[in-house]
Amino acid sequence: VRELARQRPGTGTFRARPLTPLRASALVLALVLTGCAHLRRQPLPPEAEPHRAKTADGWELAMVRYPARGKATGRPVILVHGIAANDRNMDLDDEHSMARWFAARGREAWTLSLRGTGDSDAANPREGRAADSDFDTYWKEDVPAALAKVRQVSGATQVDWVGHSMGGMVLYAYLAQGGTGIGAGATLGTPTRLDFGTGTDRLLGTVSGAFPKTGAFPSALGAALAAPFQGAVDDGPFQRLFYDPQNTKLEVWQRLMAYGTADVSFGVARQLTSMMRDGRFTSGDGGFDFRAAMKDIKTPLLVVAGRRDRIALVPAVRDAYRALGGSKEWLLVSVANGAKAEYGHMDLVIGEHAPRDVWLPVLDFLERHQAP
Amino acid sequence: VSLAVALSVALAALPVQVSHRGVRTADGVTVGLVRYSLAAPQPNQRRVLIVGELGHGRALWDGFARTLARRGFVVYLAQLRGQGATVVPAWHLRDWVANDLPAVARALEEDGADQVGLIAHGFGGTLALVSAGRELGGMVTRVVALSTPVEAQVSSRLVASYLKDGGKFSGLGTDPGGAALFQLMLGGGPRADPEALQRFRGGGVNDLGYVASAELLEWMQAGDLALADGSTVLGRLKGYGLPTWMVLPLDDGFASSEMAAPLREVSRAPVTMRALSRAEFAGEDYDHASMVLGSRAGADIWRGALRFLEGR
Repeated sequence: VRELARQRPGTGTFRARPLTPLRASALVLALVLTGCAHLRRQPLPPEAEPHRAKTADGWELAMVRYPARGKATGRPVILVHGIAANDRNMDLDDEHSMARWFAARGREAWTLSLRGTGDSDAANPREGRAADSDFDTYWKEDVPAALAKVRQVSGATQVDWVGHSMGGMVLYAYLAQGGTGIGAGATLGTPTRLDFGTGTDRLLGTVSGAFPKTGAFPSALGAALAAPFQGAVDDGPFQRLFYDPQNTKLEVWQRLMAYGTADVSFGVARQLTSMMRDGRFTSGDGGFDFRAAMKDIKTPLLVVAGRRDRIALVPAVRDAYRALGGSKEWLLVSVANGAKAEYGHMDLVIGEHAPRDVWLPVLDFLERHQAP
Repeated sequence: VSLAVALSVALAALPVQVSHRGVRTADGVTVGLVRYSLAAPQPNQRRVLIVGELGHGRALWDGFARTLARRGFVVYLAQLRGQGATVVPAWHLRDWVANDLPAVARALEEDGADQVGLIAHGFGGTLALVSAGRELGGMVTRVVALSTPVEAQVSSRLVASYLKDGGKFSGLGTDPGGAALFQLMLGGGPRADPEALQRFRGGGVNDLGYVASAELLEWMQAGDLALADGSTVLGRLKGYGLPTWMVLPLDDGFASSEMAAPLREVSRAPVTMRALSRAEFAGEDYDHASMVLGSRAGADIWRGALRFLEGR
């Protein structure tokens, strides 16, 4: 503004006023507020029931139950978010909700916020919840607690699982360790290798050992602050990395950033970025090779990849399919395979065409693998 | 900057000598070998053999081969059966390994090339990889692999439908209704030199014919291809052992990166992976053709790849 005023002295169009810190702050605040109306957190639907699952190590996890509409057609299904995310990925708003979509098709759906995300307990050493959770904590503690809660409420003996990104890795790790209680599952954009020679691989793989033992990246705050400005740059880095604008609308992406994100524990970051360094999908101490043990998994699994996914590259997702034993299917979602649009990492869960191109094949797979 | 510009201009002005020769194979087919080099021979010139995708002719490679020649390489572009002007009715994929590549190896020896780097592209490139230790006579020292499938799969329903129908790719790129389909399968990207792209789409890809396209589809469906000597592509790849720089173009709709990446698991020699996309601030999301034609491919792909071929 100051520069424009200087360029047009005396025209009457612009009158130079000193841009004080107060005025600058007011300007930024006005811009943010006027551009933020659509970022307001959308309420859950009336039928959504909040639950708390208690883990064996004393954490409470937030879960939301969406009762099956009409007669139940199959097992309950747990929908699990990826890294730096929370349960709202699976129920963002009225029109972008995998949870409500499954419930509307006769599946009791549950969303889960893994520890430290969403409304689940955050780390609090004074209350006995250490801030050193890693990826192993998710499959060791959170998965059994979530399964127990769903079984207890629904009465089902087995549950289906749909995991996006790390939500699928948790499933792989749980099953690779011999975990039980899951009837069938689907993973969406879930890698088991992360060393494909991208710049990110090389950078994060190098620094993975340098993360502190405790604490978390404030990624939720960063995402919320960045959300209003997402439209400022067309074809910006977030768009390139996370979604295809032909599939996911800008305001939907902004909403996800505003309230669908979470902090990332350094322990989780350390364990997953080490995969970028050595290409191995193992327990934190390196003693158990999940990928090698995936050959023993017998649970039927559908592995879904998005052609334009730049977080979980198709070869990284395919690596999991190759590693799996038992009954498995592969779905590469792309226009060349008949999809309505191309799919980046987040399009798989919030894309406008995801119900047709992704969720429907997932439901079809789960339906075909209902045990008698 | 001025010096760099002056050097680039001077390099671009260097005359490149291009010669073409026909090479007779054991089964009586004449395949092509195009040789690019600087008019004035240089001492210790490095030699590189390009084996491109099935059906892909010289239009894809010509500009790139000239650039390599100006950098001091002697470049041999193979035009095997089904590629460019090497039109043979009802040819088999296994003939590349059994007949065409041995003939190329003999021609290279006659030209004084006892060691070459190999640039291998797509499914055609895979046939060169499996020939490197045998039919190419062990002359290949290093490989730049441009998404060469190891675990072949059906690339997409779209590709499968075209292969079922004889792989009729010629002319598709210039057909108003077919250009988008051509882009989905064989690509070209948004940043290619328009004239080079036009040449590639206009006549740079031949129809594969019913025999070869059916065999390619079978290869994709079965994940392996039987060769004339009783071996298979996968079986041979298990003995692969050449230092390799592998480019994974994440938008490749024909020889997708997920088919190629497993090479590092079977190779006895190091395989360096380079996955490229705009998310990593590469010039584009590279596809089957834009790895060669893309205007930023030089910086994104070839700077490193050529260093690798030069042994640096």
